[in-house]
Amino acid sequence: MLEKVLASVLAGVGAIWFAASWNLASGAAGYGGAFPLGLSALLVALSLLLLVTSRGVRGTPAVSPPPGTGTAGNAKDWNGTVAAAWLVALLGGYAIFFDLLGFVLVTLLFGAVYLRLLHRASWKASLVTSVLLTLGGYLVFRVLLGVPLPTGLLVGEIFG
Amino acid sequence: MSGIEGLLGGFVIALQPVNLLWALLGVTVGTLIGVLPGVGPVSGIALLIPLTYGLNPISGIILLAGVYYGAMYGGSTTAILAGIPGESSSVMTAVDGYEMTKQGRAGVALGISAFGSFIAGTVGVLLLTLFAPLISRWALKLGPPEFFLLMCLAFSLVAALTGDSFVKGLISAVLGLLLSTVGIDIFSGEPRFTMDLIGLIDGIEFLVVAIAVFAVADVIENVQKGLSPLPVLKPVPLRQMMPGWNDWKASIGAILRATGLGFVVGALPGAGATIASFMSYGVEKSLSREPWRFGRGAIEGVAAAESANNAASSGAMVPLITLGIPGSGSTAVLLGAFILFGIRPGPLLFEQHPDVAWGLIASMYVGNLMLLILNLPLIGLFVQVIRLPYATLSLLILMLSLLGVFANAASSFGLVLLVFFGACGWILRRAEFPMPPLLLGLVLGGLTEKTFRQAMLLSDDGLLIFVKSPLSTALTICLGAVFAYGAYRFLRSRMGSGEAAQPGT
Repeated sequence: MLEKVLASVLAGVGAIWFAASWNLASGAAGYGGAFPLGLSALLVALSLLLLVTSRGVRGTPAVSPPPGTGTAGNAKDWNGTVAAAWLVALLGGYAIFFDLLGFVLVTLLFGAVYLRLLHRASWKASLVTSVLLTLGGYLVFRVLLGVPLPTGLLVGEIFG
Repeated sequence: MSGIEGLLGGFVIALQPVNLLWALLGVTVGTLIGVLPGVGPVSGIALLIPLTYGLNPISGIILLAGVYYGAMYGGSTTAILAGIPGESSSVMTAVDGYEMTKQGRAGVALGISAFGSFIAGTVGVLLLTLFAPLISRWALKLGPPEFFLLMCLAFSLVAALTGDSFVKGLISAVLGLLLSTVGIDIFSGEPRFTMDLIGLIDGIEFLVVAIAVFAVADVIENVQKGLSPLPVLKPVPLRQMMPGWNDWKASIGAILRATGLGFVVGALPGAGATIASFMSYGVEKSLSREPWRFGRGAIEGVAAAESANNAASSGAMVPLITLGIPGSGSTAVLLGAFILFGIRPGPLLFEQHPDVAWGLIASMYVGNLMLLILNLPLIGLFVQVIRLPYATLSLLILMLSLLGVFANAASSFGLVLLVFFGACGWILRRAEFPMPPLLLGLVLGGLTEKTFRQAMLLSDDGLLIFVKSPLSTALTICLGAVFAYGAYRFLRSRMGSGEAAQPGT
């Protein structure tokens, strides 16, 4: 099932890329579009081939079955997918709030929530690990490598 | 500069105390990465690249190359002691290695794998020393059409040999190539496919995608699966690790054969260490007078698998440094690192940067010796390290990913891209799309397009330039053969007869 959905999405991406390359190829840039034009056409063709030959749910599944069988296995797989989705959301939050809240605050929060929510560590262990890793990250990247880590617009406003 | 002169010069660089230190750090971190089942060599190297920014290019590359071949050594430890391969290239080591552990011969298994790795690694570097300058000189004669075809051959071989579906491998490579077209067009200077986002004007940074689809996607995948904790392992005393006369007699032939086979297989794009170890194990089993012993603790099985994967990692350096064309995920990341340091490996490397080329090769001799001396006594320590809970390890990986990308991109837009590609990589991997071809496509995309467009400018008859010279015709025929083989395998597996999955590299 996932394979079919992905093959369709990739065919769509290929088609959009093809259209964009077509505009480039027909514009003043000339050859600038030829290479991506060929590639995107190849992407559409390969994705359609995958879609047509994908067996999906029928017969042998194209994608490996989840560990365990029956409803217990499905439930485990579903929980795993939810956990993974949470992690993606957490990482997204990190990226979005990095400038606003600053490195220290956002990393502390991210670490603690990650350990507590996705690994069921105790609040105490989550906080201690998170503080240590934030400190380590600061020392290595800010102090040692001189990377200008953001202090945070919000923190900057409050503390001037 | 002759080979010997160059190598001596290389040793002068590699033996400088500071470079020795970087090599030591590299091989130690590499061994740790090899030992830890949650971190692969590609993620390991990619995560360390931002930490090497302050170094001069030679030291940085010596460090990262140390990580690369150190990981090959490390992978065997958990394979032998717990039957859990740290890397896919150690899968065959686990078969007989773990059996030997169950029979109380863990020490000898670890010993022979370390000695086998050392012999294979050193002979591999020796072969690299002999062949690299020759191939480099030959490659200087290649024109844009031949280079373009060589790269297409690399993409299709990697697609055909990693993962079990040729079409998925090709899609992955095409996606990587398409991503490489984002940003300013090198020929016309016009921005392409940037969706008016300023962050995309300079293109999609290779490092962001490498860290995303390997390190970040690894963690997402492990969180989804729920990684089970490793069993507590007993350290083995050093004196038990020395193989006896009979062990040597049984293994030395296997080590030497695996070295030769591993080097050649490693030098081919796509095949790499995993396939080399599978093949060498198969060869030893078929040559053995007692094939039934394989799978029941045959020491030559361990020796063959471990020697092959180390020789392959030296072999894989040949196309990387002579042609600038990597053949696997880990060498693609190494190429990315070279480029970030402002050095483009390829036929001109030995002429333009002999210090880097020979310094790297010399450091590989030194690194192999360091690994042999360090590895056995430190196994007790490494066994302790794998008890680090995955929750902490994964948080460390995520932080290194996020901060490394920020250090590289110097903007939080890089972080957004990291999360986006991490999620995409996870989904693609769930549907069994191999990631090495994507990385290869992205890192070679610029050069592929450049050589294609140069070939088109040179050509009076369009695509016919690819069958004009004897070499380009031969390459086109090889490309056709790989496609035919890939298509045959793809159709056979889809038509219902099924086929065992090929191991990835």
